[in-house]
Amino acid sequence: MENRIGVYVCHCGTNIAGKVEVEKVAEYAGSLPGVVISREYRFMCSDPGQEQIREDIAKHRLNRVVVAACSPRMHEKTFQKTLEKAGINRYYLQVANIREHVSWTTEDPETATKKAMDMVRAAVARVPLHGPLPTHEVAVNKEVMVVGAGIGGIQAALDIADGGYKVHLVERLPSVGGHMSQYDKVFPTLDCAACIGTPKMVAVGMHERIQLHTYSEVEEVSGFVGQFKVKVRHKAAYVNHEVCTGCGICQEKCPKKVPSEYDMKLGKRKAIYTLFPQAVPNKPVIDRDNCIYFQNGKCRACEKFCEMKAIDFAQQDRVEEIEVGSIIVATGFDQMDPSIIEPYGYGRYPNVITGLEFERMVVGAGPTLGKIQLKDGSVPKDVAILHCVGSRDLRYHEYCSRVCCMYGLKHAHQIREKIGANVYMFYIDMRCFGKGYEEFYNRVQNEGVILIRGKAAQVTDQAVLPEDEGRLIVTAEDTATGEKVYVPVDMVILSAAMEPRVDAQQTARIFNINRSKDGFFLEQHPKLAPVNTAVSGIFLAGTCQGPKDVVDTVAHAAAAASKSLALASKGVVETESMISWINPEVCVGCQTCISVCPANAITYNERRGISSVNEAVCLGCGSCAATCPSGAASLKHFTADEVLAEVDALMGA
Amino acid sequence: MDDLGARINLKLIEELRQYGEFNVQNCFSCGHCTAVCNLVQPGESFPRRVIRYAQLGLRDQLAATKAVWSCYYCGDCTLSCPRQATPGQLMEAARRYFIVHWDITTLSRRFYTSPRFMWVSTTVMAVILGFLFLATGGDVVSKRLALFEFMSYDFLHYLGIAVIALVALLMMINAGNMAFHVMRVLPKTPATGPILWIRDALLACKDILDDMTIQSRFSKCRGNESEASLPWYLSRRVIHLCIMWGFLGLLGATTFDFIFKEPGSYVPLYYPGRLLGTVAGIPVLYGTSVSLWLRKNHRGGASFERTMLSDWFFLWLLWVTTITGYITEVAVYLPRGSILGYGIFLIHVILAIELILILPFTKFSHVIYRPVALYLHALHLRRRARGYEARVPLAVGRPSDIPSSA
Repeated sequence: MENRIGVYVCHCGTNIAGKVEVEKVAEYAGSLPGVVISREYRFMCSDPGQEQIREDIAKHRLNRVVVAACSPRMHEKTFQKTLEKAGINRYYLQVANIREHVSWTTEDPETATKKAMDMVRAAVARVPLHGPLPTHEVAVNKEVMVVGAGIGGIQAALDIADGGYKVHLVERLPSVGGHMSQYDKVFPTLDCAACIGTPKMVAVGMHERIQLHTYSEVEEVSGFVGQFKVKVRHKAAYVNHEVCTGCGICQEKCPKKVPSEYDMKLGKRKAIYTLFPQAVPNKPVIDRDNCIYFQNGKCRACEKFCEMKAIDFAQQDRVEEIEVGSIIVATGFDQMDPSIIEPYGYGRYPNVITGLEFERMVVGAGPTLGKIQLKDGSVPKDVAILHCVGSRDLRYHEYCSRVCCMYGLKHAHQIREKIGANVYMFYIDMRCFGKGYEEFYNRVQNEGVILIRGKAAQVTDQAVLPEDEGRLIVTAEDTATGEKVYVPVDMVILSAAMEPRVDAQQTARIFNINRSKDGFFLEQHPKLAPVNTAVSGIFLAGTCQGPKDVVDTVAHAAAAASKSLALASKGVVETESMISWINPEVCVGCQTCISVCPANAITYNERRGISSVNEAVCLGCGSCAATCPSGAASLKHFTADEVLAEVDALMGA
Repeated sequence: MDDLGARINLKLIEELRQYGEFNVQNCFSCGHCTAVCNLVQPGESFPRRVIRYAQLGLRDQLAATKAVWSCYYCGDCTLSCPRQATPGQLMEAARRYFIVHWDITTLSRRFYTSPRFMWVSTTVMAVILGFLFLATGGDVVSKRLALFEFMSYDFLHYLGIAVIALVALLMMINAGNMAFHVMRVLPKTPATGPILWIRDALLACKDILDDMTIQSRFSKCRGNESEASLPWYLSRRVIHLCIMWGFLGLLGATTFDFIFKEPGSYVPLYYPGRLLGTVAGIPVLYGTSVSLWLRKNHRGGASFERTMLSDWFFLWLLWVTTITGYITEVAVYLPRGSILGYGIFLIHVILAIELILILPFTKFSHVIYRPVALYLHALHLRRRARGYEARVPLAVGRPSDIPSSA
């Protein structure tokens, strides 16, 4: 068949035309073998631009198209659709990237024009070798898994379940609720966190289409969009939750008390415990490491008193394989441990506490029953709140944690309201950007909080004046006046940074997703695809993607839910056509490809002695093609012939 | 509006960059550096304010601030800066910048920015001096070491006086240049009459006495871990005091000899001039040796991290001059004069004169700028306080910004 190629050079406004002489490039393209028509246009991706291509395909009977424009990551799909609408296979297109690879990265206009011509020549040399690639569709499993049942995971699960699809909600702890359930009030409206959080928790627990997997962790994920297989480990609770009524007698009778992690070790829990009174499900688990029976074989108090005979010391971990069509990762954040910031004395001075510890202290149902108190039980008269502890600091975390300004203000308000102590806030900038936030800042200021614009330098117990003996001294520069200042206080609250979960790397490996420089999970595009990951069908929700407050987490989770809903409601997903193929005539069965395949898409056929690719699983990364010693594996659309034709044309300038 | 305020000028920071590497464009003015600095006194806010002046290019304000000269550069600010904006390095660069800025000859700038100029000019000067010494003397007596038959004493004597006079004059002009500009920027204080004027001048001298002699504030400046881990005798304060007092001793000894001693005559070790010189040389040798060693190994504090050629030059010159001085002192006891003995003496004299000649153009010139800055600020405080006293009833007490007796 005769090659009839059309070449289209895009100006991209001035993005390309400002550096590259597009007219010359188009003129040059017209002189290349096989090129029937060549044009340049201001925006090829616009409707008129695409219309032009369609017209030319019809009029000049084009069978191949080269578009010299931006990166194929941007508009390859757009132009493939254009070709398809005009009635030719979408893979008869080749995009020459003359924006990112030429105009944006080349200084000299003449060099840029020349390079653009080279790239167009290479594309023209390659495109005749393109073959039509078939497209496949696979069915999408309509069940969805949400990993992490904090407010983000809860929101996503509810949205999907309300949309009519079944959700598996996996939570590592014995109860759903996450960090938000630990808070007293949430800014800026000062809603009681339990009042707005527990209804959602209960809704999750009762929803007919939500299956809770609490006290469970995801161990392994295989498969691909639409057809994920997830291994979930249900940790042994040593309590048969089928029969347990959650009466609480076991917790009452258990003789062993340990510091409660949920209460930031401000209070105690038993060795058999629920996280908090409104836990969902409200059924206890036994902490094997602290249980007297597990340690020395005696006790069994819980078992004795349980009327339902629900205690089962023989229970084992159980691994369940769940099949879902998409996964939402909502694994949340950790609060940074500020003891590494030595000058602030966290861990050295008992009355230097973190924001989360204060949260548990001020919560009415918490270990101090809502009393704001020092370690000796007395009420502080002066409290300092230190902002940006570990955030906005190149020695710890460069990023802003986005919530500390507001929760610092909230704590100030709570202190003023509950005990009337003087509050000194040491801040660098007040970032009160959300709806109603600035108003809240103003309100707290009016409550008589002292704002000191300067990062606190240190917390010490070395008093200068005798009357300050035994108190904590916070020093800083008040940059507004340029004076070095200090203030004696009784309590210091460190607004510690939000950071990625300590096991974020492991989680990333399980889900095969990436992390950004700050350690949080990487979204596909920071603006336009903030909930997608590089893995199709796995989405992010909430603070595992980056610091967020409750407002943003809920919005982010709803966005992730809509992605999962879209997949489930469409019911099919198109698979990648640019995938590997192993030529059975050539393959010698050495299985090198199997060892490099990141998707486990290649299997070895013992009987035939060759390897073959599972087309539904292959990601099209090309590792096997690059590794195959016999040249049997190749990547469709990137065959050796195609790539070499391109290289030859580039070299033969 | 008549006064629009200070004009923002982006050139200053680029100029400062010639004198050190710093990163202060990163600064978000959180004040952490000021808060950790042990030397900041009430009413001061360096390094933050210095950074701000540099960012906005407020050269006059930067020139008039005492901060640049108050800093002994322990590097705490840089270590603890959340933006890693290296405030300490800026302070150091600013000191070098002003050493250059107040020098009317512009030679300092060339010494700091052009290693080639430094080498060529000093080498040429050494050759010229060597030639002149050999041309005016040059008799090599081999029976004994007759230094002043080898070298014309008269020539050395008058050349020495001329060099010292020239350098002193230059330093005074530069100091005057600085004082003039600083006074212009500092707010005006009310006139008080001659008696109080003299009284304030004397009181201001008293205020800076500690800084000029034992520098006790220097001891507060050992926060840096690499410095705090060193024994006291390797601390920057001890090194600095050794070099400073030793150098003054050597200068005193030389002056004493020039005035009282008969040229070339033998004097016993206990002769005051000789004794002073011999004793003063010891701390200089110690101070320069330790300083060179620490700087080479980047140890002992942030100020030893980055040494410019101009700084190396001065230290090495002082070290070699002292060593050769000692060798000469021993050599006069040798029974016979040797070419080596005469050579070392020649090197000693040439280097000593070069040392004096480059004083106003190197790091060393802080000996004038620093006292001038501290003095002017002390005086300003005294006079401002006097202004308050005139208006405020005495019963209220003295305003808090009168420095307590240093």
